[in-house]
Amino acid sequence: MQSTFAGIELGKRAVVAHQQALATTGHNLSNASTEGYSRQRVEFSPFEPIYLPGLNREETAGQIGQGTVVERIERVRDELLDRRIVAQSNGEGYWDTRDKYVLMLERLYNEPADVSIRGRMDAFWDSWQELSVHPADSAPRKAVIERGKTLVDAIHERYAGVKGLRDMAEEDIQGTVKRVNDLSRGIAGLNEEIQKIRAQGDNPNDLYDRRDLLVEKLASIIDVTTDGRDPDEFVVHTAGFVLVQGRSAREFGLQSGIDTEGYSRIVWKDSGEAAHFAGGSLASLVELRDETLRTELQSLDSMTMNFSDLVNDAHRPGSGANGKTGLDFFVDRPFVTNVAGNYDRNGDGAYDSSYVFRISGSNSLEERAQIGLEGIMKLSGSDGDVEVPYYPTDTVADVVARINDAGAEVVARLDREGRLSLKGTPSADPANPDFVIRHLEDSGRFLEGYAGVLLGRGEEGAYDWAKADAVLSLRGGALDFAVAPVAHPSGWIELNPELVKDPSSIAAGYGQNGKPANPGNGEAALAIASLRNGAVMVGKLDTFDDYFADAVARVGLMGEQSDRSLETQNLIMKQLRDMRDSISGVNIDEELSQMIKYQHGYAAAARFVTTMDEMLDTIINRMGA
Amino acid sequence: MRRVSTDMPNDDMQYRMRRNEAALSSMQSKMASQTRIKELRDDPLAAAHAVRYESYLARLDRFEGNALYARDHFKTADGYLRQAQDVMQRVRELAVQGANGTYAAEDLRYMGVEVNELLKELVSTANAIGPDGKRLFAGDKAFTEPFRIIEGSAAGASETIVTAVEYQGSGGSRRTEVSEGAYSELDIGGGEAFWAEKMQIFSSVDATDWRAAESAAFFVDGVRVDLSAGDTLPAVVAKINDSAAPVKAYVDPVTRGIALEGTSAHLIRLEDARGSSALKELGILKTVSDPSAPAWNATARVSGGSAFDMVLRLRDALYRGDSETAGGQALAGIDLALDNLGSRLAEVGSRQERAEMTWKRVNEAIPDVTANLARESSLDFTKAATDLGMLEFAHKATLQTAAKIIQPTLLDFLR
Repeated sequence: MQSTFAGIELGKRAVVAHQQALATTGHNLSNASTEGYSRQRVEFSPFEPIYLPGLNREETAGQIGQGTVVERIERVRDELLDRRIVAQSNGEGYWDTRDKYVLMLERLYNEPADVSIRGRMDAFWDSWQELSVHPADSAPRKAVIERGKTLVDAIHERYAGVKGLRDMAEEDIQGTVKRVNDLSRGIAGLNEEIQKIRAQGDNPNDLYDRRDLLVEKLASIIDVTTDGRDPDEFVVHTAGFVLVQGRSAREFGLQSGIDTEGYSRIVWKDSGEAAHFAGGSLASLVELRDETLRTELQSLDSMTMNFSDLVNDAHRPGSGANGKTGLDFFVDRPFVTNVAGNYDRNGDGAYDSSYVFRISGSNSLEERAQIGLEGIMKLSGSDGDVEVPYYPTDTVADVVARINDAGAEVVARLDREGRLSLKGTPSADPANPDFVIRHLEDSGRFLEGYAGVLLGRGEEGAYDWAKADAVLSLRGGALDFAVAPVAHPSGWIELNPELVKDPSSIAAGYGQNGKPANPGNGEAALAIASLRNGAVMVGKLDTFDDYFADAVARVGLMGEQSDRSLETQNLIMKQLRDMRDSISGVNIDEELSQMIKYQHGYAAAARFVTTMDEMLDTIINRMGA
Repeated sequence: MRRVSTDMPNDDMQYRMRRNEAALSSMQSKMASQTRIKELRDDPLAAAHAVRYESYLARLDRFEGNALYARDHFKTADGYLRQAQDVMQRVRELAVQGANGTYAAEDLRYMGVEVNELLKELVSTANAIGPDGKRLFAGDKAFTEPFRIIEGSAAGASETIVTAVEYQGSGGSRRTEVSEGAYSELDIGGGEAFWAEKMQIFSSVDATDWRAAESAAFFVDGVRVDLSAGDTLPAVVAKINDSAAPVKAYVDPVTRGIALEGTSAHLIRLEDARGSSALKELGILKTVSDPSAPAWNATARVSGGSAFDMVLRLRDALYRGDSETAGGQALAGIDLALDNLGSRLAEVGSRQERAEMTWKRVNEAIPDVTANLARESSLDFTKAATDLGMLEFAHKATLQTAAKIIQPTLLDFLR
């Protein structure tokens, strides 16, 4: 025999269940525009019917249903789609950040216009041309000074701009690392709460939503994968390491050092190991700061260094209107004031390296002469030494071209007097200094006797930077080499203040036989003007025109690539997010019709309770009265 | 996707609108600045070409200016050389007159006085200053008077007269770049323009046993000749002949010393390099304290004079009443001077022509390069205007559609 109040109990269950369903529908409607919210659905399931097999069961037909309860409240979510989104997010994050910075970099160039460095250099060149036509006048000299100052200002501006971007990237990295740590901690905290609630048998849907949102935010910053197979221990991996495991989250820290020019490296805080990311905005920032912008600075420095060196070389032997000679046009700041370029690299108190930028041979060579010598030169390169062979049938011009095309970090040219001039280029490895020649070796006689650079052949006669006073192994004297500059010449290049004070010291002509130049001689001005379009080897490019065109194309192509990639990534993510929205988003019409359904269910259940109540009333009050 | 959540149309519309607006803004800014390349990423390769063309245009402008300056400079020099030629013509007439034996000594002396005046006129023409305030015929010594008059007293004259005219200028010349890598020499030195006879220098020092010391060198007409240790006289002669200087060298069979001869009428400039004394040892030069004074060795025989020397010769002959010399040696000298002036005039004339042609060529290249630059970086206005119209239309359509997104929901239909 059933209990008296079973019916009411049944009705009550139904009422409660429908109330909960209505509450969930209301929750969905309220959160229709919440970010990261996925709609929740209640699952009704019939309550345990009676009677279960047993000895004390009623002798009546069974099983009698006992109404409904809410089995669980589920959120509608496609886990696989979520994983897909997490895996793809770092692409969008990477290109988004990169695009911003590359656009700023492009704008620094001011091209194609005449306010760029190139335009100012053209104006500077023009002033030297004017001086070459009127070498005895003072007005063209003043123009040279003013245009020189404008050019130097433009170079400083670009340097400050690129350095500013690097500093901005550094700040961004610091802020982003903090964000990553905050997000990891947040996810770990949520994991703990979720675990507690699950232990009670509930479904913490909103916490799941929050956790998914945090993971998505993290995914656009660094590349992560999630593992939710064990529902009590949600794991987030990044770069092959565990980042969050259940309640514990690992953190990242920042370490700065001299080898990264004062910028910070990202490390795992607990182990101190370096952290490497394959995607996401953090990886983009690190790449921008340490590769893209560093290359930009190196390219600018290389142009500045070569330009300054060439102009000084042509200006020094000339004499000004007041007879002064031997003046540099641009101020030279050597890396060390030591005449031989000796430097103590490892800080142990003894000189151990020689920092030399340019080495000139002592013999005048003819471009088209056949050398008639054979051998292999070894020049320093980005990883190890590069071998450059030469043969008896080569002309001098051939050998110079082969050195320049060999991919070594040393370039060659024949200077004004026909001597072989070898210059160091910026180095690809941050551990090696820029503009330093690290190794020169020749198994034959080309560098030794023919060009007059080295004193001997093979390894014993080689020039190597890793010892002090390495310049003693050079054939020439003090005039034939130049010490490497302090870092970033484009930051400190200046006009010689002596020339600024007295423009008549600017050399326009060359004197002969040790005498100062005649006032009408404009050969020095012509020599400096010819640098603009001559084959002077700016790094690995032939002329300054090549350099400017190459720089513009390189930055423009970077911009084009980041623009297109960002567009693609945006579209991909949009499609994925649309799909997720379609599955998990709230549709108001749907919720409203659900609401009507549950309302009717509720009304019906209430009606049932009333009916049972009336029945009970009949038994209690009217039976046997 | 069959199921559309409420937010989706809104999100989609925002995405499209943002992209429309970005495209509109970019197009408007490009039209305002009339360039197709607003950011380098718009067309990186065209931007790289454009910067080359821009620099090239700047260079062409400068070359045009240089070529015009050269042409005008040559015109000025041409004018003065013609003036000098006219003066020399008058002197020649006087020489011919004086050669005529019918004149008395008194008349010849009057002619001498006129020749003296013409000489001063000639010197002042040679010392002319150009429109930019620099001497025209002093080589690259822009402010130095090229020809210095030395006066003294002479037999048969009552006052000091000109006894010599010395060249103070240099042999160098300004060059200017009139085209990529092509240079035009601007100046013509007085030592070339106003010379008459080929110079000859004979050394009387026997140099059979002479050997060059280590690292000896000297300059011939501004060209450096290097001697190695142990070079003999024939080696020196060979080196001078092989060099670019317009000087011929040989070993004098009589004195067995060195002999130099100019291949054209000009002043031969000889100088020992610092730290070397080869020419002094060979007996050509001597050490002097005044660098502008002639440094010929006392034992060397130097001949070959300038146009002024020829005129002086004529004047002195006339003063002496020597009509034979007037009609003989002096007249021949004047003819040589006129010859040289004529050929230098032709040289200047041809340089002027060349400068003119270069200018024309550069002038024609400028619009071509400008067209190239425009092709790479300028905006095609027709296309831009139509593109802008399309974008505006698309934008309007998007906005109109957006307004309809606020569609009625079930709520509107439930009471």
